[in-house]
Amino acid sequence: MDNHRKTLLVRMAAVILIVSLCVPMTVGSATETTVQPRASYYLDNYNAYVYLPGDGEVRVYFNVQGTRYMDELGVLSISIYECSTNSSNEDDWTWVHTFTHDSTAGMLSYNDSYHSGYVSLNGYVGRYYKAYVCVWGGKDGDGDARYFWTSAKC
Amino acid sequence: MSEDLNRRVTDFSEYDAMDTETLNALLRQDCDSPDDGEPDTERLLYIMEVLAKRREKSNPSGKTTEQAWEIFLENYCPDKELAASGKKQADKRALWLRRVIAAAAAVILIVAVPVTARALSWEEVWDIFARWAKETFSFVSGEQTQITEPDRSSTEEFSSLQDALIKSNRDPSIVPTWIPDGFELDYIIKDVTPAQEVYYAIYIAEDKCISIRIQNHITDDFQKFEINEELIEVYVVDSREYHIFRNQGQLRAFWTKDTYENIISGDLSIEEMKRMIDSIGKG
Repeated sequence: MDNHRKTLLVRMAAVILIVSLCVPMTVGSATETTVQPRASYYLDNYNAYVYLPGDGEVRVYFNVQGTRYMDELGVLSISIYECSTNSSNEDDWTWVHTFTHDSTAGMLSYNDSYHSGYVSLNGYVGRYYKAYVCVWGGKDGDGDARYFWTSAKC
Repeated sequence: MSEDLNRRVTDFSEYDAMDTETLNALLRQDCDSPDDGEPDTERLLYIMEVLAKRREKSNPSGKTTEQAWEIFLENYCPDKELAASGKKQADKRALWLRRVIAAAAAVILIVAVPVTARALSWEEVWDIFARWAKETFSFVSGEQTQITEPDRSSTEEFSSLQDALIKSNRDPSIVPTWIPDGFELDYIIKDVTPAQEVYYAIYIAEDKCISIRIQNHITDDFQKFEINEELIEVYVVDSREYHIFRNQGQLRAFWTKDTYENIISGDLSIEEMKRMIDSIGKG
């Protein structure tokens, strides 16, 4: 690696370090109950939940509301996880499938201010399911994404 | 290797005694400086090392940005091909690039640096949400069976939000009857899914918009709202509290009635927001 490139990499790392040092740190995982004061020019509110209609079907419903009409609005990805119990240990959960907006119709809406829908797959009766969801609102070449877990359902 | 380390300690030990703020300033100074001088990579590395050690000491179980990213890839983005293809597509469009950057930043903040409800205003916010949750949970046990299967193919048309509520056998008096001059109803959505019922209306005036959302739900997955940290005001009308916040440039008011959570959001002044609130259930 030449000296110039090495310096660039070091400077990039320094920027990341500075940014990370500016954020108050606490210990915790993604599934802990935390409140994050965040605001967005693009996203107004959003939610998703797992619904099991029966016969092993697993559905994840979502809705996303933009602050106004967005060029793109909806969910970018929904990852579904499975477990035999409602375990609080993340290691016990098995990833099943990830739906993405570019391979699943209807996850994104265009020139819209509200979008909702659901994705579905076949699971097993008696097992727990939860999802990790990325919502997105984009306009004029910019946008915001938010990630969150749904609660587990059996 | 040990010889190299010893040399660095000897050469740069002056930084050990410097306070964190000064070290950060030195890093910033280097990052801001024109890229024309002889790079002093070792000095930068040493400063970063000192800062990292201090951070680890103050937060022994905390995660670095790099660790957070690894956790995301390992736990939350299990499809590695997907992650790789996402990165490739990021080069194609600026919007997609922004998605990835925003998503990564959001994930880092969520996974590695969750911000606790440390400020009083946020404790208040949390109390509000908790109270709503409690009310909603009481609704769960009472009316769970009355929520119908999703009717997303509905062709119902509504002349107003009140009309939508009336046709759905819901109380129409929970929505405002006054909308600021110049705004016109753009459309209404009735979105009923197995565990959530939403009535949403958007009003447009040139480049401004206002939305009214009436919702209830029987799931423990609560709606997530984007808001600035500060509570602007708790506006009380007829003993009912309306919590007014800002979401970037827009104002929003939250209130509950019976089992419903209601939200007005939009490009409004405080006076317009209060007048809308005053009109709820009137006329």
